[in-house]
Amino acid sequence: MTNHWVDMKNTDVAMIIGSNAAENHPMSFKWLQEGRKNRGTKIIAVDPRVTRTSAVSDLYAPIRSGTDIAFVNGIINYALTRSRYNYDYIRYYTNGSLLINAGYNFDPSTGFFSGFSGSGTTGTGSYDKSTWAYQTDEQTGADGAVTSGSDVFTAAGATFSTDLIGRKMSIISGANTGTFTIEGATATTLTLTGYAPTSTETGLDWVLPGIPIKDLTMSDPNCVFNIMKDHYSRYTPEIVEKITGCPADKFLHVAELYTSTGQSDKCGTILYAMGTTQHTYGTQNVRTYAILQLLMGNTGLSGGGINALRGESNVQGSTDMALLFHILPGYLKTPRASNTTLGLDTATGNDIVYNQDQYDPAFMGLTTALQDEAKASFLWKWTPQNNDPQSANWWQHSPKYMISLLKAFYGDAATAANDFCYDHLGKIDDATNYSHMSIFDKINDGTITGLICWGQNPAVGGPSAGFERRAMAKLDWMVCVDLWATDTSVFWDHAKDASGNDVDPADIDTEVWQLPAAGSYEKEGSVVNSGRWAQWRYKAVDPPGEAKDDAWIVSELVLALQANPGTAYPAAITDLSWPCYSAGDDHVDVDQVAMEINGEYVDGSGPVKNFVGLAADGTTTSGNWLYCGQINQADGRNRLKDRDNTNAQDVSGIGLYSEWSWCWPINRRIIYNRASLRPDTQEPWDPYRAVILVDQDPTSGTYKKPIAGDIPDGGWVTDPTAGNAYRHPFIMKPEGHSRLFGMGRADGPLTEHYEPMESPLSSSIVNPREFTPAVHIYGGEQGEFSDSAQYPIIATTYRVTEHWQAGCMTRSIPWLCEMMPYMFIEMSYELAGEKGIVSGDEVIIDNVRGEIRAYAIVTHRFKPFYLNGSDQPTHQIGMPWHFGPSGLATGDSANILTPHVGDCNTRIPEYKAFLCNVTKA
Amino acid sequence: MAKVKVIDLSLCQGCRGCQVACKQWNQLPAVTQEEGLNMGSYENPPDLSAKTWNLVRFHEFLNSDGSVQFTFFPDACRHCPEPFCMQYCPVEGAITKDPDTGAVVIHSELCGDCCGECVAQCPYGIPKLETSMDDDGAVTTYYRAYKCKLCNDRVTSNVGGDNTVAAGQDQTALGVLPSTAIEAVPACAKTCPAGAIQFIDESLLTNTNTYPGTGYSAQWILNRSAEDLGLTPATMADAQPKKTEPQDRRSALAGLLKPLGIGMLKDDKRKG
Ligand code: SF4
Ligand code: SF4
Ligand code: SF4
Repeated sequence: MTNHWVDMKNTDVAMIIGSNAAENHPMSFKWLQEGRKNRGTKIIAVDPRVTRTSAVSDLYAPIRSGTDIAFVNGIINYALTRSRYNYDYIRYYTNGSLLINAGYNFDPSTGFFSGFSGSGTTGTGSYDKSTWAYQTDEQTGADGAVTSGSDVFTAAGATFSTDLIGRKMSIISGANTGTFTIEGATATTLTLTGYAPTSTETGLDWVLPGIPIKDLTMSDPNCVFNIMKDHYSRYTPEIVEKITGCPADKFLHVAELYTSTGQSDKCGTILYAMGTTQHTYGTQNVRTYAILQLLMGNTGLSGGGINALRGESNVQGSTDMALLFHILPGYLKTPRASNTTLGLDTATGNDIVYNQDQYDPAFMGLTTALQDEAKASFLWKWTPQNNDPQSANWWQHSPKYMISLLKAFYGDAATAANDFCYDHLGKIDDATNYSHMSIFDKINDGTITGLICWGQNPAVGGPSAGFERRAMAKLDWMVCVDLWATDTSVFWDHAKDASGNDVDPADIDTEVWQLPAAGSYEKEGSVVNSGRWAQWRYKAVDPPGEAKDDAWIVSELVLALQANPGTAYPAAITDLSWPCYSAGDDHVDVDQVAMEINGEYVDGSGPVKNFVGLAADGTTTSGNWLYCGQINQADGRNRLKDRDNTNAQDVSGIGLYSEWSWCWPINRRIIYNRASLRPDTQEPWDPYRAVILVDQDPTSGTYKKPIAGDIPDGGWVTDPTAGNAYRHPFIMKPEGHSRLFGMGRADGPLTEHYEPMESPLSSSIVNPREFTPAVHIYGGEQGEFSDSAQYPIIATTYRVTEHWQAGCMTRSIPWLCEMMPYMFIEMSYELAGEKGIVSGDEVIIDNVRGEIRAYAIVTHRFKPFYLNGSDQPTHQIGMPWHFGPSGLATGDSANILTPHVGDCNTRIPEYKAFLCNVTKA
Repeated sequence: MAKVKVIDLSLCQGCRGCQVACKQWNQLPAVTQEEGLNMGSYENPPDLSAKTWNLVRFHEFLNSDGSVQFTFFPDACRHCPEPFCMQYCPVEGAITKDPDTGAVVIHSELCGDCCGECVAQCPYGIPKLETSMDDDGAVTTYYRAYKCKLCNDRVTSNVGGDNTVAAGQDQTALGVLPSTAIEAVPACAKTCPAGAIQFIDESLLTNTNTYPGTGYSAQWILNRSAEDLGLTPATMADAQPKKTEPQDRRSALAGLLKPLGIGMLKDDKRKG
């Protein structure tokens, strides 16, 4: 979340889409209801069926599963065509006013953005993204002239102006090379700070590094705002109805209500969850919400933002701590195979180039071969460059965070001479995906022969669970760490072959170990909630029997490996610093772990205050730079234990609770909060919901300094007397602007509707594609999809409040099993009538991947959709995915039916839209 | 000042936190699949029973404009000001009303396999008799009645209230701050994430929509006008008393069965 749970009370309109918040995040409604009571908050629920969330919302709009982009693109078009947006926010804070390469385009007659490698309506491929780029104002020349001792640089062919003051320029040939700051300019001359050439020269090669060209009038046809007007114009209410099945008048109600938050003193929030992300275009679903929020000027404000409701109590923490293949703690990049070195390790072994400026004299002094090596290095590759002095470009500091992380990992063994043990880190192949489905693909083909399943139950929770269970039977060994014997740990007891016939457990050779783990009340440590609050939890009771907490299990594993590290690369294991646990300890010293995550000075002078204090020279450690600051430097206090609810820092009653627990980054409760100030006056958009207040500086008038409220984004809201200047609020993007046009994604810079892999329609209606072009399709049975002629019914999966995730916890608790005892599907009266089914009947649901049984709930809460202008109904059913063969309440797993295909960017599985058939059992 | 449990049904989101919190506080066993649970319904167990004192009832309603209402009713004892159950109970002290908390409590151990009179008299169908089932599925009913106690044990001993912090204990570490007065409330009210269940002073009741004979019990559930709440007709019916007058004589059933002495009754109404 950009914001946090309490802040939901400050919103004017909450749109809940891809989420059943009342059921799966019941506490969200504590705050939404407070908003209703105090400020008349309106709640919109967008969902394929009427849920317990819709039941307590003001406005419900039905959409077919998998059509969020069409629906929200329609709202974007509604806003753009009726000028219902925050104009100043867009042109100052987003890239709406920045110009894009003239070669960029989207072709609605093919469904491809520029640069696609494939063709046709079913071809797949990848994008060459070179045209998805900003136009910049870079200038170069070979006509530079300098005079000995003068700080004036002249270039006859240049078009300089005073706008360049504060930027850098580089002289890259001759005897006086270097990169210098511009402090004065005319059309053909620059005055350079501190420049004192020792000789007079002419004919010098020079570079003025570019920044994106900005058109604050937003009239240039290549500016993002105008590209968007064109792109989204196709998403009319009629098209929205044809694709989503939502009647146009209902859609218009939602569009009108939500775009009311485009007024500068109104604010809306979007709450979403897995209904958004678990699609082949899940990332683009989130993008379309983010784009809408930026157009409305809702991000960075109290009562606004993009708010992912996390499905587990600590899933935010697990992401921050990089329980994913593509990142290291704090969202640093996992090294790729091509990043052969950390920085540049020259022949001396200690001269590591971290500086990103390729025109730096030290860098230009290197041989071409060494320059190339530096450019391939990890730090060069993953540290973004930026030449705009108004942009903080926060990731420019990532070398400090990476090297402090390596120091935390490898301790004294990590030195400048050995690249801080960078070579010890595993490197992933540049073009290979290592996520859940890819792992099972590789188990299936025999590449992976052992598996540790830690708090996971893929036999129930994995997509194409039948395929994944069969793959498990090919493993040599599997270790399951969980509170109970899970459906996964006893997969051999209910195994079936590809035809659905029972398999004799004796024929399965996989050796399975079960390690009993402690529950959350049986161990001490922290959990990080959706709002990024890291809260300390204490141990209430001892774990039963031989159960141990996760940290103990992992520490024992590390010590055992260190005692017997093998021969492949023992140093990677033996060099690991593991100070918080010694053999025989009863538990890990979790307070010391918190200190290790925070980071300390290597010289023993105590904790680092916050990430600004981290260094790239090996003098600091930090297990996760985002959490640097969780230990209070002054008194050593672990701030995750803070429980002061007096809310004294809150200037406008928005519920910051800054001294209750601690949140990353540096306790900033609402991120991008400098966008909560108007660009011209630096006053809050809405004074009654001020996130930060800034003070008028008497000497400058324009720039101000923070005086109250939340911790501002970047330390420079802004005291000119300290030599700072205004800076763009979106500090994590190199250009400082939030991206309406997002060039980083694999599947397109703007959002376009494509059908799910399994769809009742033969095209995407707005374009001829059958599905998203950049999708990855695995081989063998994973690449087989259900055909709409044979399987005409859309299905989706979801959770109920009574059960949790893959169910191994809740299906072992009698009180919860009593409330939701049986696997069920929900279906409309219309479909039930066609099939001769009544509530309570047992039914069979099948598709190309298998069949399951469930009890039918026939309900008005599902209605057929009428798509693409047809008068024939398209039916959708829904089912919970909690059930499996183990526990007290057993039932078939919905994921037997879900496809083994995922998002173009993240590879999160498509759990939410697929095809099936339903018959009475 | 007596307290009342008020439920604002416009806030209830049907999460059933109250239903399971009730079972947890009162340590009531779950109804099992063998004993009979609904299939094809969210609503489970099928009814209030000696094991289930709070049951969230689900209803949906198709409006003429095609829109659908989905409403919820956490059904439990209303703790009537003039409870018919207490007035007609023949056993002295078996049902009492606590003047401080408003709780109407059945002391089931005093029922003595008596009569089931409270079951017959309650306008809301709340008290239920204890049953057991043998291996063949045959059900035995005992004349001991059970129902919601308004968590009177919890409330009167102030569990979760300020006095749970002993003198000298670090209140901050417990998450209980000295400046915040925390009042003990029933387990269901404590759990409700939507704030739908409130435990308030009787004097704070605002709704005057009363039902004759049962005092003002219905407003304890609503405390707002019915129109305001957007409820389905079925949920409105759940909230309202099924009758407004007591039965004009002691329950005929009880009168017949009491001479049988032991008061056991075979009942094989087992649900499938
Ligand atoms: S609701 Fe029924 S059981 Fe409860 S106090 Fe009233 S009459 Fe007695
Ligand atoms: S007041 Fe107590 S006994 Fe009554 S329903 Fe609530 S939790 Fe159950
Ligand atoms: S806990 Fe509250 S919201 Fe949930 S069902 Fe009970 S009354 Fe309704």
